[in-house]
Formats: sequence, C-alpha cells, structure tokens
Amino acid sequence: MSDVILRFDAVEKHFDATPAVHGVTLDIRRGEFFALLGPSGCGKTTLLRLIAGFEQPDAGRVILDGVDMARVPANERPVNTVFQHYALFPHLTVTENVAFGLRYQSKIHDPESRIEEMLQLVRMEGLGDRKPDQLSGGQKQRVALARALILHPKVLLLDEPLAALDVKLRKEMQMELKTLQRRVGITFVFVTHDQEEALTLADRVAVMNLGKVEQVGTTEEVFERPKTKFVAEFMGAVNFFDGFVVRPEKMRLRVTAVEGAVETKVEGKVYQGGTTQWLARTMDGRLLTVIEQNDGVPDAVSRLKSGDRVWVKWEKRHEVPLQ
Amino acid sequence: MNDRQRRTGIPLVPSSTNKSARRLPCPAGPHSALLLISPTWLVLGLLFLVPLAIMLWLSLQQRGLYGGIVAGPTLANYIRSFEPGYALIYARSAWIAVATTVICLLVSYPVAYYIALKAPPEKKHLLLALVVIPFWTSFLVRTYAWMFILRDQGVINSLLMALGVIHEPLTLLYTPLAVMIGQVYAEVPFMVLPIYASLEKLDRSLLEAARDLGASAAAAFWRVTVPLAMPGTVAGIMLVFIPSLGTFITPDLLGGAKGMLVGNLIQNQFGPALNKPFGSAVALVLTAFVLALLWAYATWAKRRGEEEAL
Repeated sequence: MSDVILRFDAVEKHFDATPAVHGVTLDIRRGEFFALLGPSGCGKTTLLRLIAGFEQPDAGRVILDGVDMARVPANERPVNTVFQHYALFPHLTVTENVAFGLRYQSKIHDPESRIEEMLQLVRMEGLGDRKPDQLSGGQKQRVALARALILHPKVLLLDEPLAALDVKLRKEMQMELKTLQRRVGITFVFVTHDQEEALTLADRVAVMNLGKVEQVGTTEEVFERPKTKFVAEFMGAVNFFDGFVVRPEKMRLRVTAVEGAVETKVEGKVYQGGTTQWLARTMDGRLLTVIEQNDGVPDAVSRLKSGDRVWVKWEKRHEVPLQ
Repeated sequence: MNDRQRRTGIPLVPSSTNKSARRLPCPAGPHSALLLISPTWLVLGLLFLVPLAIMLWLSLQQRGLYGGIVAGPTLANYIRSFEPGYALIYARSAWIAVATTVICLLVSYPVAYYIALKAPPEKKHLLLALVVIPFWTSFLVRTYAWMFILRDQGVINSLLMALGVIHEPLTLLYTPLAVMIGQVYAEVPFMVLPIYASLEKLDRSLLEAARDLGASAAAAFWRVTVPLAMPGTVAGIMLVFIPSLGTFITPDLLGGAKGMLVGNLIQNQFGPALNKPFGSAVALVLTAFVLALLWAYATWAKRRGEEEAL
C-alpha cells in the first residue's frame, strides 16, 4: 500500500482561457490532514472539485489510491465532500440526509445502527428527526460530516468548512474536526483562505497562488521557512530585506543601540490584546513590523511614542532566504 | 396571465416567503388595515362576488319562453345538471383536462428544466420570452391559426401531400386530437413558468451533493430535483387542469359539434339554448368542484409549509 493516497500529476484546468489550475503536481499522504491554502481565485476550490469529479482536468491526471480518475464519474469516486454551505437536503430529516448515500453502497449490514453510530460520532444523537432548517450552523456542519463519513471515503474533501460559522463556534469546530480526523483516520483535504485555520488544523499545507502551488510542506515549514515572497507575505512575515525575510515576532525592540541592531523611528503601534504590533521605519526608509508580547512588565519599550528612536534587533538564524 | 391568476387563485410563481409575511403588524392599527385592503374588496366584490350572486340567483329561477325567466325558486336546474344524460359531457371534460395536464407536464418539465438548469445564463431571458410570446396575440386568433394548420387544405396536409407521404388529406380538424393539440398548445406556458420558477431556486450544490454521495444523474433528479420542485409542479398542474376543465373556445373551434364539453354546455345555455338558469346551475356546480380542488391544494400546501416550519 503506497504512502500516497492522492496525486496530482501536472494538472491543468482552464475556464474560458483563464487558467484556474496551472501545472499542479502534488502528493497527499494517506491519513493526513491536508490544507489547500490561498487567496480567493487561487485555484484551491477548483483543485478540490477536480478530486470530487465535478470538474475534469484539461490536461494531467488526478490519481486516487493508484487509480487514474479520468473516466470515473463523481458518483463512483471513493471520495465525499463537505460543502461550504453544507448542501443538506432541505426536504429530508437529519437521519434521511445521513442515510442518503448508503443505498449506493454495495454491502451494508444494519444501516440503522450505522446511522446511529455516525450521529453519535458527530454528537447529533437524538436530533435525527429534525429538518435542516431547524439546526444551528454547527449542527448542520456535523450532519454534513456524518453524511460524508458514513460512506468511509478514501479522502474527505472539505470546502471552507468553517467559513460559515461565527468566531467562537469556529474555534470549537476546529478542535472537533481535528479530533474527528484522528479518530476516523481518514485523509482530510480542506480548502481555506485563512492561514491561521490551516495552521491549526492541518498536518501539511499547499500554499496556492494564481493556479500554482507555491510551496508544500508541514505547517511549521511553511510558516517558519517560506520559500517565496508570496508565501512569506501570506503567512504574515512582512519584513522583507534584500533576499531574505524576518517574521515580526522574531524581532525585538531596544531603546538603546546594541550590536547588530538597526536604528529606526517609531511610526505607530497597534494594540492586539496578547501582543502589540509596532511599526518602525529604518533610516533607508524600510517599514518594519515588530510584534512584542504584552507580558505585563512595564519597560522602556512600552512607553515608546511615535517619532521616538528605537533599535530593532533580530538573530541571524531567523533570516529566511527567499527564492 | 393576471387574468389566469385571478380565475384560478394560484400565483404563477409559488412563493416560499409567505411564511415570514404572515404576521406583519400594521403600524397604524386595525382600522387602517381594513382601509388598505378595501380596494381589493371593491374589485373582488364588483367583479367577482356580485356576478356570482347574480348567477346563484339565476340558477334558482325557471326558464321562461324565448330565453325569459320565470321566478323560482327551484332546485330543478341543479337536479337536472346531475341527470345521467350529462355524465358523458362531464366525463369527456374531465378526460380532456386530465390528458391536457399530463401531456403539458411531460412537455413542460424538460423545457423548464433546460431553461432553469442547463441553458447558458445569457440565453435564459430569451428562452423565457419565447415561452411568453404567444400571449402577445389573442387566444382566439391563435386558435384560428390552428384551424388553418389542421384543416384538410391546411399547412400539415399540404406539406404531407406535396412530399408525397399521403395522397388523401388526413382528417385532423374537428377531431378529439385537434382539441388535444389546441389545449396543450394553449396551456403549456402555464405549466412551464411555475416549474421553471421552482427549479430556478434549486440550490445547484444540492445536486452536486447527491452526485457526491453516490447518486447517478437520474437518481439525483428523482430524489432531489423532483421533490424540491414539487410546489411549482403542483401549481402548474392546478393552473392547467382548472381552466382545461371549463374550456370552450378550443373544443368549439377545433372540435366541432361532436365533442361537447361542459364549457360548451354552459355557453350553449346562455346562447342558442336560451336557458340561463340551467347554464348558471351547471357553471356553479363546476365552480364548486374547482373550489373543492383548490381547497385540497391549499390544505396540501399548508401541511407542507408546516412540515418545513417544524
């Protein structure tokens, strides 16, 4: 059994001459939680739809568990999708929604107990008779998960799974999704434009831009060692120098000149709760962003005002070279 | 189309939002609310209730000589309207209405489906306009046009003879087939539009979800599209069935004298037969039947609405 469950091999997809996916080659491993991350229009959703079978590649191959999916229609692919707005069938109850796909499976012994099991797994037991419009956003999400997972897909696809939820619920569902994925052991591939969500949920990430994969790696790799300017910027590392980048939380402010520090002037600060974001301009006109922890110790830095002189210090090992 | 809506009381576009509109408080109190709906009552009263009352009164009178009226009151006209002699006419009317509805449904569903779900978006307006365009010409004129198409020297027969397919003209006009063609032609738009409206609202991702869960295209259609488009489909069925039940122009012009329907029976009583009381009685019996159907429909729609709101 190969370690790779899903392979994109030089996949191309165009919509009216605009490339949506351009030369994507990518391996997704068995059992991992994988994020397709990028701004809107970067091709991440198209990639997901190519796996589901809702779109066909113009060139290249999508290979699922060793099988080329080119001639396999959506309803025969061993993948299932959790749609962005869940796409629950409004005329069916929760139970009927969860049971929808079971009749297309070859061997099911005791579908009722399997449905019950699934509803328990997503903590929806006892709500089987409800209709979708009687459910909260989080409950709809859970039904959508149960409806897809009951079919034991080789890969579960999630299209912006948390985008429709409010902030508090989103945090809760993040943890739930993560736990659920560990428990069922199914490969999850999800699409998001939220880098924080990708970091929280995923084991590995593909950062996409303009239809291409810019970088693939573990969340830590992509965050700490961005390879391109785009990835660095998208992951929030905004201090660009010639050929390298430094993350703002890796920089420190000093009120006196220390060796290796760059002299700047304070341009402003933004209080962000746990941290404070400082804007400082170097003598050669570069604007730097420095994030300091609000550790509650009043010091010289916390008293800095706009226009004050300040020295920005970072360690050489935190400089990340860009391609 | 407004005329049709008024006659049948069914909106062409089934609304799913009336749930929220049910209990809107009137800002200026209950009396002004009455005032606000008074034009509706005026129109309904003058154009609907008063004529109905006149018909009711007429139906209880007796026929006089030369179309006159002899004061009743009597139930004789109602009793006569249930005489077995008229059963064939009622049965034929019901048959025409059922057949028209079924054929319209079979013709309209694919058309509505194509316009709503398959047609390129920029062509939708054109296609819908094509469905509605016949209304720009009077119904009577269009029915006469069918006479020219179907008669012995008409378009169809001339064409088939010119092509050598037939040597004798086919008898098309003044047959039940001609009535059927005319009816279906007249009613198809009333079936297409509500079904289209229902399908147009259908969330496409539901169809993708069905496919994703293993359903073939056909299974997705039967398990998702058809049930979700049911309100529009039922509205279309009512919009076609009810007027077909009382139709009289089409059978009169295309069906000739043989295939009398209840619409022609009523029309005859007010015309050549000079028996307005009997005509009124039959018309009211038909009206009562249609109201019963509408009541059944309303009950169904309400139950469905309650199920959805639960």
